[in-house]
Amino acid sequence: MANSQAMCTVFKKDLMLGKHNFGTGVVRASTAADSFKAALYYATGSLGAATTAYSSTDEVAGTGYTAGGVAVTNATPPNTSGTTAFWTPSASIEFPTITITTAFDCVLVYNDTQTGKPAVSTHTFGAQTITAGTLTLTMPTNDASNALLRIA
Amino acid sequence: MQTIINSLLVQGMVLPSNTFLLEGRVGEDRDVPVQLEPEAPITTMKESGLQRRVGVHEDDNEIAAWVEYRLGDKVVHRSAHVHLKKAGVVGDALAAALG
Repeated sequence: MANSQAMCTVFKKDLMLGKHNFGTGVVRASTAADSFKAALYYATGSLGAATTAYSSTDEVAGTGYTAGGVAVTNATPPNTSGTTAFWTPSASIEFPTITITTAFDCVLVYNDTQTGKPAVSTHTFGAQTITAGTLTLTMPTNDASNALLRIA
Repeated sequence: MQTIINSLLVQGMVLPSNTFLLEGRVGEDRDVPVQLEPEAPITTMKESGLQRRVGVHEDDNEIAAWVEYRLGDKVVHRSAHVHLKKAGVVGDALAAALG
């Protein structure tokens, strides 16, 4: 068996666990998982790979919606399969009893524990409006092919 | 798709698998949360007094289902259930750069 060049799969998972720091990092108060939140954005926004942190710019507003969004349930830690590390929220993201009459099509997942509320990921869907109703975002299968976050 | 359909059925909806849009009323006369004016408080109305429309959309990214209740021409209730099939957040570029 020959040696090979690779990014170690465990490193991909450990990135999600905050085990490595190649620059100026953050001081952690404990080993507990950070808290994450999900916020909704109007279809006229421009969120994507360049988004660095939560911002209220282009965030939806309306009856029952609280700026900053809702908590993301995180009961399942990152895992690996093959050479892919992955993570998915362990429950649907739900915005109950809201009214947002201007079309929105994006949810930002961000870290609500760290200073500056750094961005994690943006996810788009067909434009929606909600009137006196509930928006439920159900998650993909938490595996190496479908998880919400994958480092392959 | 089945997850979405099951969710809709739990809410008392009848949704044939090949239906894109279903109009009319089905089931018991339930209270439906409604907002009659943009800044008005959310109240409830009996389902029998409203017209229901249900829609489903599926593409490579999502399965989305929604239910609307209308009072005349006005949408007074709309809920949506979006199932994210697969996120487009794969760090191939990162892995390629470092691997």
